[in-house]
Amino acid sequence: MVLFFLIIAAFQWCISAGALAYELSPNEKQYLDLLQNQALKLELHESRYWHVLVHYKRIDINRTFYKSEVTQRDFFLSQNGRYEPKEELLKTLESFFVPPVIEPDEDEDGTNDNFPEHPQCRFVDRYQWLKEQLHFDPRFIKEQKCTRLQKWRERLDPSSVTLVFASYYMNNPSSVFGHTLLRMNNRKSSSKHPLLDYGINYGAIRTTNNGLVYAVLGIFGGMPGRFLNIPYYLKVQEYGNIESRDLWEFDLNLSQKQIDRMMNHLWSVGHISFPYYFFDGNCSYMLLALLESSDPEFRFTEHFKNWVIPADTIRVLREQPGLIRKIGMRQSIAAKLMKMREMMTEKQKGIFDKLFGDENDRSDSLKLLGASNNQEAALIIDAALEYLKFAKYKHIRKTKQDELPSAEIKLRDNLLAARNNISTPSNSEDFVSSEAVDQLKRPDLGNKTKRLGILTGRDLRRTWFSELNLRLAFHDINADQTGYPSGSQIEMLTTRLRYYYQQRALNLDSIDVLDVMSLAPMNALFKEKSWSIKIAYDTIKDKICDNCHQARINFGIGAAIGEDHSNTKIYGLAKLESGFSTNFERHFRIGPSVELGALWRIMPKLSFHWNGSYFMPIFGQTMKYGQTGVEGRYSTGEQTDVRLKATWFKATNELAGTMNWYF
Amino acid sequence: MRKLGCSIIGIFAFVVISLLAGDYAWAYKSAGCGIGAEVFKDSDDDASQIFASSTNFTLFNQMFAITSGTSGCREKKVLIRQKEEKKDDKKKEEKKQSMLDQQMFISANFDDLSQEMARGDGEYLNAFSKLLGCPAPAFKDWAKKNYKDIDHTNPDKMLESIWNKVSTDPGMSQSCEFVG
Repeated sequence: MVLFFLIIAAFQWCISAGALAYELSPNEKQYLDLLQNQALKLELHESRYWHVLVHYKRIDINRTFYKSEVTQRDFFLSQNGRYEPKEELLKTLESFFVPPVIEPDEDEDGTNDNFPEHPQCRFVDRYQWLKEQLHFDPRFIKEQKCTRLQKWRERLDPSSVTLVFASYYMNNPSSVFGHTLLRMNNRKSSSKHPLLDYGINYGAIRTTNNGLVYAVLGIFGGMPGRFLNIPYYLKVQEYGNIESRDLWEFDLNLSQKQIDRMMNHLWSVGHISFPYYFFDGNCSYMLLALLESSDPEFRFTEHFKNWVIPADTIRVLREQPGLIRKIGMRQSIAAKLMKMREMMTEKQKGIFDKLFGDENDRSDSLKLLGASNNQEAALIIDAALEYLKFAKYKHIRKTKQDELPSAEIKLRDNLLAARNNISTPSNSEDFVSSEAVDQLKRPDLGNKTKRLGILTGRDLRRTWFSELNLRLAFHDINADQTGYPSGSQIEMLTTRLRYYYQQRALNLDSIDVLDVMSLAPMNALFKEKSWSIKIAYDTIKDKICDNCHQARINFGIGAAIGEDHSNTKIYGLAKLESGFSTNFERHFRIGPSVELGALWRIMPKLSFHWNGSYFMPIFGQTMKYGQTGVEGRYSTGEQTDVRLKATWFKATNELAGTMNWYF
Repeated sequence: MRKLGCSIIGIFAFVVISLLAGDYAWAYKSAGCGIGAEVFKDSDDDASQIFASSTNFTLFNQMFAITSGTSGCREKKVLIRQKEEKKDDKKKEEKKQSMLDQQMFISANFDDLSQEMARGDGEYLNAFSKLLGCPAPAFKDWAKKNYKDIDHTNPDKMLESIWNKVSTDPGMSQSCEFVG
C-alpha cells in the first residue's frame, strides 16, 4: 500500500520535474526530434494561442520575457516552464509519448483521487492543438483514452454557453462591481431546464473569516483562485434569492469546436489554482481568459492592463461581431416582489399587508384567502410566499440563522395550504425574455467607467478658472443611469487640476480617493438603510485660505425614498466627518454632520441633483459650516454629457460648466 | 507604489463598507466542486438511510462548505453504496446519480419547490420532474393533488415521502424512471 503511493508520488514528481519516467525507444526518439524541429520551424512557442493555453504574459517592455500567470508547479512539464514557452512546448511534446495508462474507475478505497492522469488527458488542450498543428502519427504517439475527462464531458455535454452577470451588490465590498460566471448549457435538457445546467465559477477559495485579512489577501494575491463547477440552480439561489441580485444571461454564439476547445482548456486549468487578485486577476478576467481559449482568433484579455471591471468584460465580448446571440434577465426576488405588488389593487394590498400584521389581522386574511378560489387570491398568496422567502434570506444574511421564527413558519404552511386549494396556477414568470427586458438596466450599456472632464467656471472672487478632471472608475449618482444600479455611486480616484486665470496659478483642487454612496429606497416592502463613505484630499472652501488643503474621511448612514419609476429620490444621511490639515486649529476637526439630497430625473438624458450638508465639529477646530450645491446634467451622447453646477461654500461660491467624456 | 496605495484604500474601504452594510451572505456562498469532481455522499449500508442529516440548510452547507473550499467533493462519480460491492450496470448507476441529484436539488430549492408543488406549476417543479424521470405534466398534477399528504418538515423527509407515494401510486410508478 505504501509502496503503491510511493510509486504514484514518484510518478507525479517526475512529471512535474520534467524528467519523464519513461525512456523513449530509438524510433520514438527520432519521431520526437522530427516533431520538435517542426514545432520550432513553425515557431509554435511564439504563437499567441500557445501563450493563451499556458497563460504566458510578457513582462518587459521589449516583449522578450515571459511569465505564466500560473504559479502551481504541476502545471508545467519542464523545469523552467513558467518562464520558458519554448522549453515547455518541447517538453510537452515529449510527454505525449508516455505509454497509455489505464484509468481505473475506482481504487481500493472507492476513489481514484490519487491516480495521475496521462499528460495527453491532463493537458488535453495542448495535446489537441499540437496534434492539429503537427499532424501526429498514431503509430508513434499512441492516443490515450481519457476516461475521467470523458465522464466529465458527458456530464456537462454543452451545446452552447451563456455568460451570466450577477448585478451589483452593495452589501459586500467584493461584489460592488458585479460578478460573472459561465453556464454550460446541456445539449439535452438546457432549453427546457436551464436550472439543471452546470455553472462554471471562478473565485477565491476563502481561507479566512476575518474581513480585514480577507481584503488584504484578496488584493495581494494571497488566496488561491479556482474554477469550480456547480449546478446553476445553486447560483440562482445564491444570487437571485439570498443576495437578491438580477441575473443577466448573455447567450453566446460559439460553435461546437469552439466549445470543445474551451472545455479542453477548462479541464487543464481546472485542476490547478491561480493566485486570486481582486483588481486584475478576478472572476471576470479569468472567465474572459477561458472564453479566449475557445478560438485562436479571439483577443479579449489584451484590452485590460491594470484592473478588470466585470461589466467591461461584457463590453469586450459585445465588440466581437455576432458573439452575443441573445440576452435575457432573471429577476431578483426583490424585483419580482415589487412587480407582483404593482399588479395588486389597493384592496389586495390591504389583505397582503394584514398577513404581516398582528395575529388577528393575519387570521382574518388567511380566512379570506382560504375561502377564495381565484387568480386574485393566488396573486396575494404567491406574493406573500415570496415575501416570506425574502424575509428568510434577509434573516439569514443578518443573523446567520437558518430559518424564520416559528410564527412565520406557521404562516408559510397556512399560505401553502391555501394556495393548494386554488385550482388555477398563477402566471408569475421570473425569467423575462429579451424583448421585455429593461434595457436601461443592461450592465454593458451606458457610460463606460473612466471619465475625463473639462470644466470652466467662476468663483466668488470673480475669478475665472478652468479645470481638468479624471476619474478612474466607476459611476456617479447624477450621470445617466443606464446600466448602473439607480441610487448608487462609486467613484475611485478622481483628480481635479485647476488653473485660475487671474492668479495664473495651477492648483490641485482635489483628489477624491473614494466616494461611495448607496441609496436604498424605503417602501411598504423594503426598508434597507442607505450609507456613504468618502475619503478625499481637497481644498478648504469653508474659510478664507489660499490654496489650502485638507484630508477628509466621512461615513454616513441614513435613509432614502423614491423608486426608480417615480423619477425622484430624496435622501438623508447622518454622518461622521473628519478633516485633517495644518490650517485647522489643533490641525483637525471631527464631528457629526447631516446631509440632505434630492435627485430629479426628468428623463434618462436629463437630471438634477441637489444636496446640502451641515457640519458641526466637536473636536479640534469647532467652527460649524454648511454647504449646498445643485447640478444639472444633460447627456449629449452615449459616452458624453454636459453639466452645470453651482456650489455655495462658506467662504466662496462656484459656478461651472463641464463637458465629460466616458471611455 | 500605486499598487500599495490602491491596496490601502481598498482595504480601508472594504472594512468600512463591511461595517456599514456588510452581511453574512458570504457564509452561504456555495463554492462548488473542482472541475471533474462530483458531490460526494458518505456511503451507507442501509440503502434507505441515505441522508446524513435532516435539517434544511445543513446538507447545503456540508456539500458546499466555503471555508475549506471544496469539501464534500470527490474526484469521481458519486455512489450511494449498497451492501454488495460489485459494479452495477449503467441503468442502476444512472438511477443512483439521479437520486443524489434529487436530494441536492430539493435541499437547495426547498422553498421554491414547495411553493410550486402547492401551485401545481413552475420552473423548479419542471426541473424536479426531469430529475425524477417523470413526465412533467403528470407529475405536476400529481404533486398538486397529493400536496397535503406529502411530508413537508424538511427536504430529506419530503423526498422520501415523495418516493414512497410515487412508488405506491400505480399510475405514477410506471412512468417515473428514477424514483428511489
